[in-house]
Amino acid sequence: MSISCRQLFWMITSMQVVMAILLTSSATVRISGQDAWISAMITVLLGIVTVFINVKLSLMYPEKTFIDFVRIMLGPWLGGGMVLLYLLYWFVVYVAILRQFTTFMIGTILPETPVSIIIMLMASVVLYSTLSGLSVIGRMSEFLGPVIIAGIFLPILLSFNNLNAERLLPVLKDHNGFTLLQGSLMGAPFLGDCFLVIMLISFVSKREFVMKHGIGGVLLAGAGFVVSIVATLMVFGPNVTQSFPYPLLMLVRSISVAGIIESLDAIVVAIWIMSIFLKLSIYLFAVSYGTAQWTGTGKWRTYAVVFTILGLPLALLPRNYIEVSVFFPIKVAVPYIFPIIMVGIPLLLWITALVQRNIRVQG
Amino acid sequence: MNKQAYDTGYTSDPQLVHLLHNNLHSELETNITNINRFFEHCSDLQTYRFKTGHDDHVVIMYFDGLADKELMDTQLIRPLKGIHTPAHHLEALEELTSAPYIRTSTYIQTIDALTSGKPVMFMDNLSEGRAFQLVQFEKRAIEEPQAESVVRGPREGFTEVLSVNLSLLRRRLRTPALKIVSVDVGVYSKVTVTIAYIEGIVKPGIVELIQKRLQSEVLDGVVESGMIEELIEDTNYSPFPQLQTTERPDVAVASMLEGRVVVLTENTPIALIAPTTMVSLMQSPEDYYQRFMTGTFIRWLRYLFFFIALLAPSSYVAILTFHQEMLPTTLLLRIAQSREEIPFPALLEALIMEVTFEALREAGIRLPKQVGSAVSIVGALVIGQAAIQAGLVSAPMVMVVAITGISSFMLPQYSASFALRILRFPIMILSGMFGLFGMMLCLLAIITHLCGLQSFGVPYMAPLGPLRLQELKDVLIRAPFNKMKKRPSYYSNSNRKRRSN
Repeated sequence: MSISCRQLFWMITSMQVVMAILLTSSATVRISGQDAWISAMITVLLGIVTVFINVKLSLMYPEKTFIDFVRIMLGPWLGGGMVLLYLLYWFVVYVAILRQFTTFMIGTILPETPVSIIIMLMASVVLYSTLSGLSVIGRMSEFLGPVIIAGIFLPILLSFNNLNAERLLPVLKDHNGFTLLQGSLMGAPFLGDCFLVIMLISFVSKREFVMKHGIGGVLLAGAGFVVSIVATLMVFGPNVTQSFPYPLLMLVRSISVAGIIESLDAIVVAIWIMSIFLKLSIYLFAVSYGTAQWTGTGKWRTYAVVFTILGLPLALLPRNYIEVSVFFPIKVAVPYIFPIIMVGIPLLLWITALVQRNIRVQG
Repeated sequence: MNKQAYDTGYTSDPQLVHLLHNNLHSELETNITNINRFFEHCSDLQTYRFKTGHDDHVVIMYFDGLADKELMDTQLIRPLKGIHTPAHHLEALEELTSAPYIRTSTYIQTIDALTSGKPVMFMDNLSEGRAFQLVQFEKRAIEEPQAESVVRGPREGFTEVLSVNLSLLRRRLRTPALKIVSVDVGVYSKVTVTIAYIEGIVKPGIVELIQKRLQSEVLDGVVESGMIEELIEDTNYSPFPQLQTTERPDVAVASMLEGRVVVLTENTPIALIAPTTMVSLMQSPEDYYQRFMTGTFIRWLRYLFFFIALLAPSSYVAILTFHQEMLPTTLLLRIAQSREEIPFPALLEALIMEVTFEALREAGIRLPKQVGSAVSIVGALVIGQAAIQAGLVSAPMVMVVAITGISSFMLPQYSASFALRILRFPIMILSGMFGLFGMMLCLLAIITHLCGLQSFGVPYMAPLGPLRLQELKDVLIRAPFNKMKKRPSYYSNSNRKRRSN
């Protein structure tokens, strides 16, 4: 299994863009109002910082995955414990996305279908792609990524006649820097999950361009995020935007070109499913491959099946949209996961690795 | 009964098996008797006895209908009757006849020569047979390919005769770099399968790989290249063909020039091309013979109708069942009006019509020509006016099915359209149950499958996934030839320049 830098680029872009737009636009606008697009830009910066730190860290041990090099750096006990934390986190994210996605489906195009069936169908297709291996996921991202990006930008382009720049005014009057930063943190866990490169980097064939492509991937996904927030603000204004659970979907619904092209939302949602599907596949791959490395069995395909089966009932646990799409991101992802798991620990590890290397060089 | 005896494909008599690898006897009559023991109940085997001018006994054995009797008479029998020196001087024979021959020293070699149609000559005091290349059997003339017709392009198609097919290739590639390797496949049929390729362009290792797979003795008889296809493809568990088929020598040559390998099977006009990608299944030879703009346009049209063939009925079902808001109101009202009296849900309606259409299509191929017209008339009634008037099927559904059917004929590769025909049904069922979500899931599963599929080490989705931007020149468009300077990299890494300049 190996992937190219370009595949990594499209993997990062396509796994981030849709979830970030769907789940965090509304929350960002709620905090930063009409200045949400500035918050969104800060979010992109945070994403770039995340990918920078994590790529730097993983380039210290490019041949190894996170699972292996953490145990080399911190020893079997501390390192092993930390790995377990991450594996657990990845699994929780896999389950959470599965559930968030289902809520999204039910809220938009499949109002009457049972949750369990949607989860089961999606999980089985995701399992199929995960079992095919990372190179297949890479090829799919490269193939589907442009389609996903088109599925974000084309609807926005089509809504040009609804755009009204006045709705963005006044700029930077109602909100101070702290508020904007707070708003930007809403999207940070979503543009920050490019930190999965720590798991993927050992599969990349030409690593000299990983940094460039990693940052590029976050930038493209971030561009989609910023543009979508700008567009929804310009169409609905801040007060209406924050009342929608999925603002961009509302924008798609409002498109009308010459009275013929209307109600594109079902098609657009179908395209967005691709992104969520890729994200789920990558997370499932990360957690099952990581567990296989952690336990030393190497049978990651078995773990993929096991985690899928375990994930199904867990994904049914959250009772409603609020729990999974509001409570989890705001109460868990923003204060703990982003600063600690995505940035803090990798940063510490990177510094540790640098220090360790210096000691080795001097000694 | 000895199982071993059957497995040789030569005889069911265990006592005879050991004789197979024995050398021929110096006694003429012993050889004839032994060979006749193998060919018991083979009344088409002829034995012709005569004497040379020197009074040596000669026996020629041959199969009626395979050996060229006229040439045998003029090239072999008459000169031999005329010689007065002892004919077992081998040099004398070379002066006598220009017919090429090979010497057979064992029984198995002799039998192989006989069954492949060559007359074999035996003489007294000579412990070898001579098999003459005087084979002439009835064959079809070179005709225009039926399944792959073009408006512009050569009218020649492959025939059932391997040597004719090879000559068609050789005529188009006048270079010693055109190599032809042959392998005999099948315990009983011993059909010659030849692998043709251009040395220096071909993807390294692929010829050896095909040879190795051909030699795995799974088949006891090969009747058509479809069996060879199943023998050498990477996985049998896929609806998508992993080898391209062609009846056209120009297509075969063009693919060899790309670095691919052509597998020709005796007794069938269908040649296989390996490796194959999804994209190459969507290309028609005519794309390259027309102006490049025309080629590009037709190609886009084909991509569009590929998706229509795959998705038209399922999107109709999904939209009608789940996403009615996508349709403009007037259109929706029209459809609702025509569906008013239909007793079935859209999914069932679509399934009935699609299955009927597939059945008609299959029946149209299988039925004898004399009743063919009857079927087409009844078929037109069944999926046409009558079904609508009976109130079983709505008119829009008939249109959708008709468009789907026509679109699936647009694919130049017959075997690829089979994949579409099969996959249409699961997509239809899932979209009938879960709308566009089900359709997308099915598509994602298919894309996963396609991205994972390989044909002789070449990713099936190349050059789309893994993406090679340079090579999209022959995928998204058909670029002019002076812009396509390099061969596709996934077929061959070496010697990529198309011209030497």
